[in-house]
Amino acid sequence: MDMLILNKHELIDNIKSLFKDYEIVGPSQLDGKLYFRPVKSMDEVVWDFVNPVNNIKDFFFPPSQVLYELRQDRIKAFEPDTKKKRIILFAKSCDTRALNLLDKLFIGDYKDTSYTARRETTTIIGLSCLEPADRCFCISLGGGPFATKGMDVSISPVRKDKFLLHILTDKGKDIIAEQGTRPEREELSLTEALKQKAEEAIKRKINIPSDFFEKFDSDYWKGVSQACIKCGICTYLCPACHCFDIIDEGYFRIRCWDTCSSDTFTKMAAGEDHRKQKYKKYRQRIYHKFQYYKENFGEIACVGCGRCTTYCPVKMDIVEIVNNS
Amino acid sequence: MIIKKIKTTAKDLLTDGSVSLIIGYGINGPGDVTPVFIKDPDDVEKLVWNDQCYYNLIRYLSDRDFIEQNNGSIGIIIKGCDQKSLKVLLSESQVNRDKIKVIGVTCKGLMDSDGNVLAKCEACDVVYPDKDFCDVIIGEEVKKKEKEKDFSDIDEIDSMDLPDRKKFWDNFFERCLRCYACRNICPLCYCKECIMDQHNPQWVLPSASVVGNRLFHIVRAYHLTGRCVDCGECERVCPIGMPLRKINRKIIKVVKERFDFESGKDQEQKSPLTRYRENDSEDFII
Amino acid sequence: MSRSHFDSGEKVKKKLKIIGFLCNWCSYAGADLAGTSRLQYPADIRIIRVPCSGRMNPLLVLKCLQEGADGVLVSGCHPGDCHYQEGNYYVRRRMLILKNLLEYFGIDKRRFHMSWVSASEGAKWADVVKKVVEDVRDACEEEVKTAG
Repeated sequence: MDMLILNKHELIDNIKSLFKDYEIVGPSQLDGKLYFRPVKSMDEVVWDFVNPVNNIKDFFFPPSQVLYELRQDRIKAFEPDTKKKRIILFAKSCDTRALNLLDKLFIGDYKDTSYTARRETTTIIGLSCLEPADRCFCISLGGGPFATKGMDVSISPVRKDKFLLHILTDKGKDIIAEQGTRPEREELSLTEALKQKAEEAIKRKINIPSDFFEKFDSDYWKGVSQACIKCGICTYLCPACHCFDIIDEGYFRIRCWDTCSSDTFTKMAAGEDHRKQKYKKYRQRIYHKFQYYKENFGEIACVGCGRCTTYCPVKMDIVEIVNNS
Repeated sequence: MIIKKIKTTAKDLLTDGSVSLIIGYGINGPGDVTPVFIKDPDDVEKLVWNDQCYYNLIRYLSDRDFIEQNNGSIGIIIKGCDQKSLKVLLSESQVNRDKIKVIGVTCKGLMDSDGNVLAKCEACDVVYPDKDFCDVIIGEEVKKKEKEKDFSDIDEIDSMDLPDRKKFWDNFFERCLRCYACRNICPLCYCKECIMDQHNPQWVLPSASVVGNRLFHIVRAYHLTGRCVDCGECERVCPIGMPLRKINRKIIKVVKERFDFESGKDQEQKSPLTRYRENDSEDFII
Repeated sequence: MSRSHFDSGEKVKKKLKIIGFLCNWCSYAGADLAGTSRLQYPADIRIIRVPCSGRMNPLLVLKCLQEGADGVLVSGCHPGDCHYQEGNYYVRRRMLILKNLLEYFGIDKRRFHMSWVSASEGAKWADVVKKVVEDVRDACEEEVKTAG
């Protein structure tokens, strides 16, 4: 579709004009950490960053969401408030690609209404990754720092204060005003050079062994999972993890995130737990990503953002663990 | 060299069969320090020792499943601060002292990734592990630093107005994901079934909401009353950077002031909540 | 969306919901005496009888506040008078920590009270309830004021 070259101030002005009609979500600092969160002005938005703590999954599939209220005389269903449309600014390619993976599940054979509603009313403006973190490994999973999958508009730098905009969908067309110039060949090659530099910066690679499936019963998993403390950081911060639990809190029925590492995840009503041991829980996470999701939906449910390795309390490294299996 | 001595000690213990497993510090793929579990004497080369060895490895000793799987003797590498948690576990009869070999290492303070000394290490008073408590001590003897406990950060919050204090904490409770990393990394959180995981009765709202999160953090901290040794692991692992030590230290402060008690000093001492004095202060009672 | 909460809500209700946990041997009998002596005190308190104040788990207090109670009162025998010798000494330590912790998290300390009321102190019980109700009402009003 369309490609435009914009100066930084033109781009900022364009986004500023959207604040009136849209809720803008962007990477912004809070207590020394970076989050994707609603912002009030462009001053809050950070331009140079590697992956924030949370990822854009939160805005489609929130940590906890009230489904309905159940009282003796009435049932009230809660639909997400999508009257005001939302724009997510500067999503990275790994996060948007993960969203495409989640689409297969939530807008697949069974349609998740709230997810679909949020997805339809959200426009995603992506930003290319100039300096990937040293934990990133997106290339070996089919992504890349300049990939555009899942974005409505992608922004890549040409040089300082000059950006190349790809308008990829109609939703993207709606929010970007007709302005700027068409890219020259020189500008395209500058972006290409930046792309190559960024891709070369990603040194880590995940290689799934050919006998990965046969390794299921191996004692290997007992060894590598020993350090795991069964917390939920890896799954909650993962852009592709999507398990949830439905719980009751008083009159409210709530859908909230759940994690396969928790002790209650596979606990049955009578107290039986078929995945009691730690290694089985950890193995489930790895196999769900690299085996089952592929069998069900044709793609690996890992995008290589490196959050699980970065934030793991005991620094278990998914790349090393999968590669050595 | 400390690391050389750690390796030879570990190798000796494993070869002469006095332990079947060594829990220590190693390096993972991208170069971070991570806990390692060594069963083979030839693997001791994996052990490392540097200023990034944050982990309180005692956490694995209070993990029932872990102990079940490794039912032989366990050798464990500890820092001075870790030994406090071990003493609390011993005082609660959670660890069989005869089945563990404690390798104490002199620690000169840990650094974060930016090269700053950790806050907990600034306030540390156990650089050198106890001689009569550890089985092996590695590193030169350092004189014990007698330090008055500094609670100025707690006083700062205490001096805030009530609504501001609420805002300060709610700001974090809004973001808490309930990943339970703070609970699970804690060496002293060893309940077989945590009340957070119970649904019937449902004591604490399980979804990640301000109300439920606030209660979770009150209850988590409360359960550590008179037990928390301020190892700071909960704060280190929190992905949203909640100042959890500020909660734990508030209780440490109250327990010290009101009950004159400090945890982790002695493995014979009893928790302040299982004791009483007839003249305990009751200025809050009508 | 209204959810169960620690706070008392948008406006101060005329009638408060205060939960009283009373020990079976002293405070419950004391409250009973207040009733049989026809002493007047606000009816904003709902009483739950516990075998001993030492049975009080801090969770009970916290759960009440979480589910929307405006305040909580725990009452037991005077020190030294416990039917089980020492239950109230333990609870005294427990509740001290809880009170400090609640305050630390920005929950008004006037929402949580503890008192000693013996079986013969019907009049004291009435006074305690009056004071607690007044305190809780003040706390609620102040919260509404600062929130609005």
